Amino acid sequence: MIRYVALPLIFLFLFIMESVFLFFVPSYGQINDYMIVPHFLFISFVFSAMYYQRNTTLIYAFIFGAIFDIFYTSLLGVYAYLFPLTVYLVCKVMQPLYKKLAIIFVFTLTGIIFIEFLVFGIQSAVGKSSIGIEEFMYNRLWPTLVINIVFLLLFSYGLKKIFVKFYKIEDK
Amino acid sequence: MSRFFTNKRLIILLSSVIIFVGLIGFSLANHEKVTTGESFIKDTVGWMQGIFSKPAQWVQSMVDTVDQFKNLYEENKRLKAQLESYVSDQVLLRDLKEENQKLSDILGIQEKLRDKEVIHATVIARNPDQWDQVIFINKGKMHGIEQDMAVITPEGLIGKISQVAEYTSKVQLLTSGDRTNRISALIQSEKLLYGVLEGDITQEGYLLLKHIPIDGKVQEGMNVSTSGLGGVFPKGLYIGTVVDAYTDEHGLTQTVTIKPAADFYRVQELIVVKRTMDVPEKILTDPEGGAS
Repeated sequence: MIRYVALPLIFLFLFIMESVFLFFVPSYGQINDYMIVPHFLFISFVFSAMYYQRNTTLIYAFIFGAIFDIFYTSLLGVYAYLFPLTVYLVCKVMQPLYKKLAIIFVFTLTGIIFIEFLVFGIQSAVGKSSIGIEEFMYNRLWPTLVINIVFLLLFSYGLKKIFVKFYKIEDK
Repeated sequence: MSRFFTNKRLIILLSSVIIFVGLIGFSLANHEKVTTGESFIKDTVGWMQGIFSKPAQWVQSMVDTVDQFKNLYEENKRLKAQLESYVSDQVLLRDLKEENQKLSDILGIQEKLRDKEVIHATVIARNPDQWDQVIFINKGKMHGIEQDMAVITPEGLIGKISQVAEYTSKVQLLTSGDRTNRISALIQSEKLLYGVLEGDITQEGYLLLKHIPIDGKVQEGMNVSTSGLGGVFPKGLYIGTVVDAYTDEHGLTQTVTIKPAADFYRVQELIVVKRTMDVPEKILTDPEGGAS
């Protein structure tokens, strides 16, 4: 029940919230040239992989990444591969470490930087974006990190609670 | 060697890299066509986005309304001043329209570049990964929307339809840096000056209109609108006003910066414009005539 209903519903909700969130930001995520990119979905993938089950999460990461590609970017395969890959890498790096919230916090942000850089590389390679690396770093990466740090500060504890609860219910 | 191939993870990795490159190549090759599966996912997700974005937009417009109260007095004064000239303009406009119609009848012109049909639509989503400057609307093929139609707000042009699913479609904004984003426009100076909008924007958010003849006299405040020469847009969709003009790097043409009339980021309701005048088949299939 959790695996097939509750989990995808949470992901779906955050998927839609990423877009809805931009309605509340002045100028839809662009404040004086600064671009804010919400990565709420990816953050929830990391928490789900940490506290619930890794392999189930990887499958959902692929599915929602594919939907993201088809609906938004129409550059198929970018997020469908990057989401599971990054979640997997974060899990691997985290394996010998304690599952402390602060540590996950840091590695989630590292994952976001990883995704942003790779997508930047792909977009530049296929010629869809023409901005240089400096502009990318100053106008896009920093504001994006700030907004995701705020999201993590507000909701990481709640996300952890939800996924730990899922794990416990499934365990019984 | 055999151990190399039995390594399951490596095989998964390699094959997924191949599929990944293939998928990107596939989507770059025909990024304008939407397959049935894609269309189904787009419509389903779009429908859900529509449900959630409606209350969000309501809240947004509430905040905007409160914001507008602050300069209500100033605005009222300005509008009153405009209203006086509006009445005389209205009379003049009706006069000219009648005269135009009469002259067209005499010459036997039935279709004009200006002729258009409109479809109203609502914004349902915006791309959270903001590499592409696009928005999504709740009307699609079923409502008569086609590729490359112009999209406007009451203030002015904001972009064109870049992808159509059955019930939703994607609008590429004028600010999109994509190389297919080209629009033929004209400056209403004493002599009409034609140029091409290429989707570049300046730091201040101004659009760049390129390839204006070097001897054309361009002044600040002149109006810019679509020319209808690209074959897809109707003529006379307002884009914005001229801010500045300078000679481009080769010294052969002028580049003009334009302040767009429409706010690309505050749009909720918009209008899709269909040009009713037909274009000869030959021009549309001509690869050189790509500008819209």
